[in-house]
Amino acid sequence: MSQEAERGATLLNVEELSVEVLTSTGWTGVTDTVSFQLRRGEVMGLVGESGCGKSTTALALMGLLPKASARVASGTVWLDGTDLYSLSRRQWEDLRGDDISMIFQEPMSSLHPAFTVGEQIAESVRRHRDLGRRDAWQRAVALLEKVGMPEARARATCYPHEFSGGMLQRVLIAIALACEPKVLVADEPTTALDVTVQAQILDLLRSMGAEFDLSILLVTHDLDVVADICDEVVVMYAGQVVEQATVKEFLHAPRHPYSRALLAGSRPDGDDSTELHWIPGAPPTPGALPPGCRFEPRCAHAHDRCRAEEIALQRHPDGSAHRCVLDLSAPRGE
Amino acid sequence: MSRDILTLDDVHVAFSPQGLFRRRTAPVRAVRGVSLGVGEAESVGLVGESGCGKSTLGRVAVRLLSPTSGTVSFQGQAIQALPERRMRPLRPGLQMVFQDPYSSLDPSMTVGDSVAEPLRVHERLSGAERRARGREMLHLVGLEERHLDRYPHEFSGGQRQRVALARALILNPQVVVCDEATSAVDVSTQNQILALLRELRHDRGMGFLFISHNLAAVRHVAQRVAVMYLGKVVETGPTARVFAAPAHPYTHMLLTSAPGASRRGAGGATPVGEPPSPVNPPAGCPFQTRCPMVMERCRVEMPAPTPVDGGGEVACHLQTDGPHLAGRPLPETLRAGV
Repeated sequence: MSQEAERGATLLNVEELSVEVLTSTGWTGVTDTVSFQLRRGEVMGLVGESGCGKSTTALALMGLLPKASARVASGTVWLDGTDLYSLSRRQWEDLRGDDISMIFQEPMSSLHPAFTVGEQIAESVRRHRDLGRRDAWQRAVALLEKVGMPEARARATCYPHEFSGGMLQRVLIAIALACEPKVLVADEPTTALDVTVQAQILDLLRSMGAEFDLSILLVTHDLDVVADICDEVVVMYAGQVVEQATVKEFLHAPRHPYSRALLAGSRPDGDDSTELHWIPGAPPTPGALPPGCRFEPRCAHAHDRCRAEEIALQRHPDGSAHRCVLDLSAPRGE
Repeated sequence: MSRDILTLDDVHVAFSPQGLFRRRTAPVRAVRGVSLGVGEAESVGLVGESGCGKSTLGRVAVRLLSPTSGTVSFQGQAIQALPERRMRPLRPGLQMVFQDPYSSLDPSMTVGDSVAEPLRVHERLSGAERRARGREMLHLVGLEERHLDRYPHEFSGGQRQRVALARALILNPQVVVCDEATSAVDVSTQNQILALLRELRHDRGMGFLFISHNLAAVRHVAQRVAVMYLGKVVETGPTARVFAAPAHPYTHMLLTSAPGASRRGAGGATPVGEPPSPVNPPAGCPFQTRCPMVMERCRVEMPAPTPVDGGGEVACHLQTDGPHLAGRPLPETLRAGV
């Protein structure tokens, strides 16, 4: 069962990461001791409903949390042996884009409207590599070709507003990969795209991942996307990791009731039945968490013990983990 | 369908953007000759990618927009050119829900007032009666009484979308046009809303025009589907037939593009290209620039809608001129083509 041997070495190690945001009542925890390891060449999905802390976690490990309203309360992030939170601002800027880079849901808002896309890719190259203008431009064109931009040389001289959403996402992927990073953090990269373009971008991420031996942390709410591209899944609920598993285990034998409920709602396997499933209620708001298990008020399997105590994350020998007194993948459910 | 409540017939919409400094720009031909009907207790799905004209068509259907040509009739009455004074009595029967409840709810009104506002316009009721109806509607969409006096910003996206739905339903409409009504919410909320729409259709006989790019949602909620591409309907049919045996290469591309384990396992070809600009649609078939099975004829002649086995119509020359697509897998060579 264990796939330990096939996987690469740990590249990104997130340890007990807790983030707080400033609310009207003071600093409030929004993620609680989030831990996971991303291995070399692996595509890991970070999933959950809106507000579960997945994007916050991604921003925190990029050092991109808005300073005035959010802070890392505790925890460490190691990238290939470097403790990211020990870095100076300058060091961090060198590392971002070079070793780890990020793409977002709205490509338009990540680009400067007054510069051509070629200039913006070249800028990123020159920021991290000792290249002349001409060489950086050549590299920009080559990158655009690589990400499947038709007529790359001509399109490099165009401005962001002249591109479709799908083409802009290609530009952002080109910028992100300009310096051949080890890790790409992609926050809902295909959510704003049409289905045929989404398929193109997922296939592009897959092929780029293979070509650059890239590890990808994919933040998404879409389990179909997870089934399409991910190797490993981390499920978050109300700021906590509630399950970690290989995509196969997750899809076919989820351990946590929340995972099972999420899957029932979206059915990534293309089940034709017409029954609709949903999870009653809404996730708790930070600062008003239930006393025991955070999913207990919505859980179909809840009992007294779940209300009495916080449930710890159980780590399993094969690298998977889950946070529940039950194990739904076990034959009798316990 | 025997009797459609809402009918669109050969609707065309062209926008002529006023360029900067009155520069003349070519018109955007958003909708090019679409006919569509929604019957009582029927839910019709309208799918397609951004820019295909589906939202424009939705706005025409509720007469937020007037078509350049063609007719829109509601309950047998042509409404596309009706003066506002005569349109008003029909409005309660024809409602719309938009994608973004942030921009369709007044941030300075309580949710209770927002939901009950249509009653102020269309029905003579006391404040207490309006409030009671508002409460009833909030219950229907799964919100609670305590939400009545709150403001939109206090709600999550999913809750706001329920509020927008409650407001559309409070006049007990016969047809509701839902434009990407579940696209911005979590799957769990989406499924709850879809289940509610089904219930309203069964229990109250409401009809829905469900516009979405989300194929899974359409599959759950619609009995009939129309697929739009570049301003034209390229395929229609019963939902089960369209999903199981797509007759148009574009429908086929849409369905095989949906992410998931099956797409990954199939290792199929990546769909090619993006829809061309509606400013200058190609002559002939709109899908010719991306079609893996394009023929000479497709470049010059727009295919006419042709009946398909299993119900519905397809506008594709393959149906009359070549190997039919319906019900058969595409030959591997064509599938991998380009």
